[in-house]
Amino acid sequence: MTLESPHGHIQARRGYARRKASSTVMLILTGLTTTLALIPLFWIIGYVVYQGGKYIDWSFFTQLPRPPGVAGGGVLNAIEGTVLLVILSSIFAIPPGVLAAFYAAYYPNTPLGIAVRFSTDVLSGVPSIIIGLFLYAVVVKVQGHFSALAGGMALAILMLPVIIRTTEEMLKLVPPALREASLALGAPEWKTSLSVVLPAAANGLITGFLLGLARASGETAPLLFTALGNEYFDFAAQVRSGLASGQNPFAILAGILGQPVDSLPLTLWKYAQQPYPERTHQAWAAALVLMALVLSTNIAARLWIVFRQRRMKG
Amino acid sequence: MTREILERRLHHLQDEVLNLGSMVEQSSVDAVKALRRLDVASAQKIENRDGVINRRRFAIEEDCLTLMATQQPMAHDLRLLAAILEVITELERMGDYAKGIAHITTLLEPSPLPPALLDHFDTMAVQANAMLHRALSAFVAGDVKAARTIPAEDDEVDRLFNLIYGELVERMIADPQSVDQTTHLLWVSHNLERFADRVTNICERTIFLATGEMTEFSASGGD
Amino acid sequence: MNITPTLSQPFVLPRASARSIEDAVETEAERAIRPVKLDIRNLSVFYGKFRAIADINISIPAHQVTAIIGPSGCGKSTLLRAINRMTDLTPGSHAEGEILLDGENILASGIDVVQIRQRVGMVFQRPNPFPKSIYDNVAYGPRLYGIHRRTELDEIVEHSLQRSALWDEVKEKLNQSGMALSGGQQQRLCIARALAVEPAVILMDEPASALDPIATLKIEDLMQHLKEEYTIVIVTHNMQQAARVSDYTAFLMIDDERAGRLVEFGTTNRIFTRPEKKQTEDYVTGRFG
Repeated sequence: MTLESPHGHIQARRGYARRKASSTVMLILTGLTTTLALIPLFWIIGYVVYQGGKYIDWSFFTQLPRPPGVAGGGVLNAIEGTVLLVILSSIFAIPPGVLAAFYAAYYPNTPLGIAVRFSTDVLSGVPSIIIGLFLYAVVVKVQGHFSALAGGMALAILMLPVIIRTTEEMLKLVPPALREASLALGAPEWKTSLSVVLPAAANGLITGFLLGLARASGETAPLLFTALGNEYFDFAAQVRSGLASGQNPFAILAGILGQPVDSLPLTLWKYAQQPYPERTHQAWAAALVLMALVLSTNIAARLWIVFRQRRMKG
Repeated sequence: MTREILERRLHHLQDEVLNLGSMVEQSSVDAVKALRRLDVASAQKIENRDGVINRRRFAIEEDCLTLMATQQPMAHDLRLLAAILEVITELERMGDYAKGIAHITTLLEPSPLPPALLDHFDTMAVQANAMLHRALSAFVAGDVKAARTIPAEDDEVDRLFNLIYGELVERMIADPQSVDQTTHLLWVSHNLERFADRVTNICERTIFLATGEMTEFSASGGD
Repeated sequence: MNITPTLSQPFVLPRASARSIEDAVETEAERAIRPVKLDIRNLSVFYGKFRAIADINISIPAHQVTAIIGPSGCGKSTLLRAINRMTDLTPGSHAEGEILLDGENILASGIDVVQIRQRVGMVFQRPNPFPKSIYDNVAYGPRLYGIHRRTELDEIVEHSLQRSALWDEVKEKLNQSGMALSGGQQQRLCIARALAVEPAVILMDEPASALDPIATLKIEDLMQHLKEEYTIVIVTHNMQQAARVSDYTAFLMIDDERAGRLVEFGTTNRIFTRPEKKQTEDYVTGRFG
């Protein structure tokens, strides 16, 4: 088509119609595939809510499991265990993860900085069961018993790459000028990082931590060799009996950390394999609780971020 | 090279200054001619022409201000605009001198003027206009060397002025009846002398324009 | 608090005794006898092997605004950042030559960088308030230097905000986030933050390039007030801004080895009306390159 052609505009219009048609087709296609991709998500949520919802009652949250084959009882042990493991793994993973991320972000081209990033990539590719095995070898085997501590450590190692990666990205997003402004006032690097860079990156960091937590709290494999599972774990009862026998709080805590604990995914995995229908029902319920826990922390964190931003904008 | 718009408009302004200069030149030459012939009609025409010169001057001034406001001229460009503002003021005043001569022509009684005196006026006018012509060329070209030498030529104009002054004074003493006419003629010579003085000011602007240096040529007599 | 008081050197006008019309105009020679606050001597800054600026010699007078202008990449910012050793932050950088601040070489090896940065404050291109309240932004510096008493901090915060002409706009909302302010207010907050540690010199790296024209003019007016108490060095891309705000102008350009060199330094007046060097003339008249 040349500009001189007297019919140029007509030809142009024909081309336009074709382009518009193909645009519409592509739009429909992308819409369809998006729906397709969303189906599994809502299917899973819907199915778990349907199956689990039937068997959930108050006692499910407040009671320990009954023996197999006996109806009733709950998964208090697993809920408490999950919370305990998540707290433990956060304590183990977040501080070193954040520090490593600072190093990788500010000294990206030093040998150690490169090493941090490379090993983070490798670590995130290690199957979780191998991490469980590793901790079995170096902690459980050495201590002679399964423990919450070992479970927390296994989950921490799983979380570590996620935390380092997201923290590093978030730190890179903080405008360098902000850091420079603090340094230009004479502040030392550590002070700048702590009181200027970290608060500025806070929103992103929290999202990162939550991603790590969500990943850890859904893990089963590494716990098989470390936390093992414990159908009699009852936090409140332990504290009560400890205090009654005159133990100091640290001893009670050590006692709790030193024994095996259960977690929701672990319970789910075990119950689902058992031939008793009550247990299978409770496995569905546990799945629902686990999903709700992860989803609600996510939503809560997002709401908190929105609230914080609103306050920031005044 | 950037700043094409500014550059084009600066060139245009320089052309306008040259135009204004030739109008002034024309007026002064015509005024002296009208005086020689005591041609009142053409003298009146020259007086009217001064209004055109003034309007042209204001137009150039406005263009300069517009350029300053819109183009943020710096250094040489800024000096050029400042110098143009100065030069057009001089030209306008020089136009006024020509107008003054034309006006005197309308006031004189139609009795013949001494030819020797008229010849002196001619010489002064030719000399002053030659200076103006070259001063404006030097201004547009930024020719510092010329700008430094032209003011010396004012001495010749001053010499003629002194000569005419002496002759006219003698005439007044010899013939008290002619005082009125002679005083008018004294004004003519004065105007021509001032006309040339102002060329010196234009040369000062040229030096400022080219070097940024503000000099003043010691005005030789007449001031 | 380790804050050195600014010694204002007495400056006696030579014309104080004889006042006449001629004396009303300050000549170049008179300007030349102003006390020097920052004496930059043979300064070169290297990034690795690359020499970013080479053999810079400038005597920056006290209580004046000195502008550094030049085309992009000519080392303006490097020169500015060398003055409070911000260049140290770039790995592999080093400086040669001297920068004398009140006669003391701030590039000397034994010098405490923290102390230099207290005496030489900096304001950046984009307003960069910390994600903290207005109050905490300004109090950040004083707290670093050990001031924690609330009454003392209150006083410093108010005083600094007043000097940066922001107090009246924010005095009712000191606890709101600094990020909630408009761009121009944020930049004045950043200036207040820099003033709060009582510096003697304020470096400004294109402080108005991200602001609208009105906010820009406010910052420019502010600089005129601030120079009574501080010595100001500003880097700007905007030649008209340099012409408007500064008393002295340094023009930098890169040489054949891509190192920034000083082409001309002088009163702003002279640089913008009758520069000596052809390169300066070409740059200020917009005929560069």
